[in-house]
Amino acid sequence: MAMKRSYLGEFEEIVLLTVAVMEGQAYGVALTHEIIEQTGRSVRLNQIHAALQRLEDKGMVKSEMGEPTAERGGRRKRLFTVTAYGRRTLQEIQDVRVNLWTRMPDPFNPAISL
Amino acid sequence: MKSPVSPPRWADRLLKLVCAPHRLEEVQGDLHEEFAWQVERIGEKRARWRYWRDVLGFVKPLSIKRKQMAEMPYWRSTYHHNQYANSINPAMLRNYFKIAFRNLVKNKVYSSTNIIGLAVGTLCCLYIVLYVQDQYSYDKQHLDVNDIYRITTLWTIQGDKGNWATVTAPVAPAMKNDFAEVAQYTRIVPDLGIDHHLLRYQDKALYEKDAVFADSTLFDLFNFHFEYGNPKTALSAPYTVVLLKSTADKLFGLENPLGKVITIDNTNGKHDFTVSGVVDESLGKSHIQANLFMSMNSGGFGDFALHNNSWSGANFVISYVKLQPKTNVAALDKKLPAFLKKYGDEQLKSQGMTKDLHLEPVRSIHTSPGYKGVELTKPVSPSFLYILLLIAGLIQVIACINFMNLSTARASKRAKEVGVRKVTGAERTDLIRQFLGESLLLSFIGVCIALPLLIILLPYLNQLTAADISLTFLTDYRLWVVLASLVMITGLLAGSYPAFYLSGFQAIKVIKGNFTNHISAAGIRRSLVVFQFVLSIVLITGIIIIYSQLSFIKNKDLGFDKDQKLIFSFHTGEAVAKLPGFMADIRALAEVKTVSRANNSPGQMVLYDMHLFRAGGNMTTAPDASFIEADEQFMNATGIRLASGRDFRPSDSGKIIINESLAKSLNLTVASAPGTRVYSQRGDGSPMNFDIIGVMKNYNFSSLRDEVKPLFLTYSPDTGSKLIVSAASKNYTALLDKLETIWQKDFVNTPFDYAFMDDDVQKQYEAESTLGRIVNSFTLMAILISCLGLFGLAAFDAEQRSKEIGIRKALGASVSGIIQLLSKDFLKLVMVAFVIATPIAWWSTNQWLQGFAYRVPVSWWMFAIAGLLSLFIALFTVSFQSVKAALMNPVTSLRSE
Repeated sequence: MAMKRSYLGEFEEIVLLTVAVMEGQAYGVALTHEIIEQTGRSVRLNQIHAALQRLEDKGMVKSEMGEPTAERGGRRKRLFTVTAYGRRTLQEIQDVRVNLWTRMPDPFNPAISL
Repeated sequence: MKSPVSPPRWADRLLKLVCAPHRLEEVQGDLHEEFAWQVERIGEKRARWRYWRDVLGFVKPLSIKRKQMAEMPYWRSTYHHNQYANSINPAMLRNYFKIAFRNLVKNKVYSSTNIIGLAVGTLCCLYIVLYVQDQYSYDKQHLDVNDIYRITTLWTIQGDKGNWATVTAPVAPAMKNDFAEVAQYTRIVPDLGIDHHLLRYQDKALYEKDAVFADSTLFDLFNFHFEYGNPKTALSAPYTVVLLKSTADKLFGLENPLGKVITIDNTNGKHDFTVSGVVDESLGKSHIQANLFMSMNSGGFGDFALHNNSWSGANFVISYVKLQPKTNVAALDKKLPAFLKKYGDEQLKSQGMTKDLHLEPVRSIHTSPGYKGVELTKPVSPSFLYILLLIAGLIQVIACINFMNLSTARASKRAKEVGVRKVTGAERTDLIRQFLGESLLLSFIGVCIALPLLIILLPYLNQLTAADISLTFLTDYRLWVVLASLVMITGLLAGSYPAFYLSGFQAIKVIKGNFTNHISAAGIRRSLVVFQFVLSIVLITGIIIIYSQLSFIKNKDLGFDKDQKLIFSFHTGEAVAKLPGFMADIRALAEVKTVSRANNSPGQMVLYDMHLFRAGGNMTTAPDASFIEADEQFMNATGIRLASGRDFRPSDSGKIIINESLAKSLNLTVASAPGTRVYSQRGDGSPMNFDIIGVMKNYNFSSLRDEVKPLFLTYSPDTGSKLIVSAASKNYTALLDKLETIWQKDFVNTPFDYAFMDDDVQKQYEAESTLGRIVNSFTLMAILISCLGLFGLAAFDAEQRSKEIGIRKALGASVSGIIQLLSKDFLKLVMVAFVIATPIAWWSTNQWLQGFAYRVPVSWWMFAIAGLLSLFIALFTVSFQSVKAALMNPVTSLRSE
């Protein structure tokens, strides 16, 4: 099954998923904190910004400016939402995985994996 | 909620610089939000570090500031621009690096000339920046340094004005009492006139300088690191002492000194002190340079200061006040005249003096010279530091000029490359970027060489500037900021001209091959060479004049004989009591001509002064004269000559000998002065009188910076604590051996200590000697770099003209003729430089010489030598290449084609 879609890196996928999870409340710092919490990796702000830039370039997220807050020195946030194309891409990735998992003859047994 | 702390300003500026403007708002917003969160989580300090790290994350080629194109998603525009028009992409960068590297390797002479020049320049710059930074770092460690002020006095007596770093004892406590703005005060009483303190602990004995009395609040205002003891209470109890670590180590070694009892013995007496603390300077340098801090209530001058209530005389207490935060200092300063009037009006009027008190910020004491009286540090003049920075800058500029010169000279070599790049679609901006990148690379290599070189040369450089900069600067992030900016500035400065010049070539012309070196480029090259040599000649003249002045000082007849004189100073009451015995013992030696006892020897500062007036005069109009207590051998031992009258005799009492300068101030002639009676008053107002028995010729009792001031000798054979020993021969070793034996017999368990008078005299000019050494080394550097440049240019010139030379030789030109041909142009440039440099050198050295009352006459030969020297250096440098070119076989240069 050859799918014609943009290639999505593993990190981009996590960012895209997190944007989807946060539903309209996703912006740089919030995403960074959420990803650190969920994955335990040390993620830096500039990486998130770069990933978001690439995702928007590929048309998987879109953005608009939000409200300014005091702790940001009165600066606005850029809030991201997943586009339909982004959703479809995520869905496709998930389908491929589910498909492969179900075809695995002997799923890993937690008891013997040690 | 507004965040109480703001993130590092400089990081924000950096971000503004590197971040695309249309993205700045959200990126900066995110960073600020993150910062606020991290401050809560891990504290401000670590949050600041993290902020820097985060900002640096955005510094990447891809995040570099780009223009936003209209009607495009906010980064799509930059993406496309990046992809097709902007040459900063990995492949192109690799190509630039490859070409730059190949150019470096191919032209070894040019590259090494450039790199050595830049490395030496950077070395100078870096060391000078470190030195200047070190000088400005004093007292920054005190927590409240911005609120601490020293009280200074502008003092006018009989029209003689002076700024003093000291005030009288009651000023600081009264200020705390009168002004709510003053939170705390502290005072330091220096060891007036005592230059050695004999310290004893068990069987150890050593001399130490700089012991001061200090109020118990000293360590409240000033933060020192306490290795032992408690800063709050260290100076509270009477007869306690806080030692500097170096002193404590000498006395106690590894022992814990706390609570130990040491004896401090000096001419004012001898007393036991309990050690209550040991401090070191690990927090940072302070202008308070003292080895021992004794508590104020420990007798001597300290007790005097505690109980003294003088607002006029006794102006020797160094006083500091700590003000409440955010006090308006200027307003407080304005209240001081009324304050002084309230307490001191009567006393000041009766003494005929006026005073003004001022507040001087402690943070700039080390860089504010010009105060009279006692200072705890030797302040450095900011103008000296600026001169250093200027020299450093100029040396770096010379190195940059080399780079520009060689790059433009080599332009023809690279013109083809420029042509090909343009034909294949390079924009002019791409070429500019390429050439700037190359110069940045070179200046980076220069720094990479300069830094290890600096570390190796550090001890030598420290000796040169009499500083103590240590390797700890490597851990200071500011050093790396300086380094980075040095690379940037040097690279951009050196690369700018070649970048614009080279990138301006027209592709069609260079590829067709009718490329010729522009006239204008040659003109600019010439003027750059002239500029380099102007600097070199000015610096050489500077050296000649500084050293002439120093040798003038050394050889000037000072009015006394400073050679073959040994000075013994006695620092304890006990030793002074045994002095007559020692004197008699050494007089018996055959190697000793005369021995005089006095309280001063020429070359040391005269500490005492008195107002003298003739019958009918009064204290308010009397001239001030320094005086020395001396015996009847003083003039004999020092070689000071009499102008009229007679020398002291053992039976004299109340007799003085004045110098010519004092005779003039008293309106006496040299002939008429002997036999005149003069008057004065003691501090308590009781009258004194003296009879003048003679007039001595003026001798320079202070440095040659000042005219000879009024001075008199008073006959007092039993009070001096110094011996001036006039030796019969220059063979000191035998004499010193004998003297030491006698010393050990007479002063048991006291270190043998002596000085030579000519050393003492020379010590007055340490600042000038240091300046001489510094200018000397920097001149060498400047000349070296200039020569490198000239060398490179000459090599280039010879190469360009190799065919011409070949033809000339084939037609019968002589070797000397060709050398002349090649050297002539460069020598002309040096001549032009000489004409420009002479007035500059004349003016600047004259400025420096104005600081001396006695100065060497500036004459034409000093400039001539500088000119000839640089001419010779230039000739020597150029001849390397021209001789090589002239000796070449014409066949080799003509065969190729």
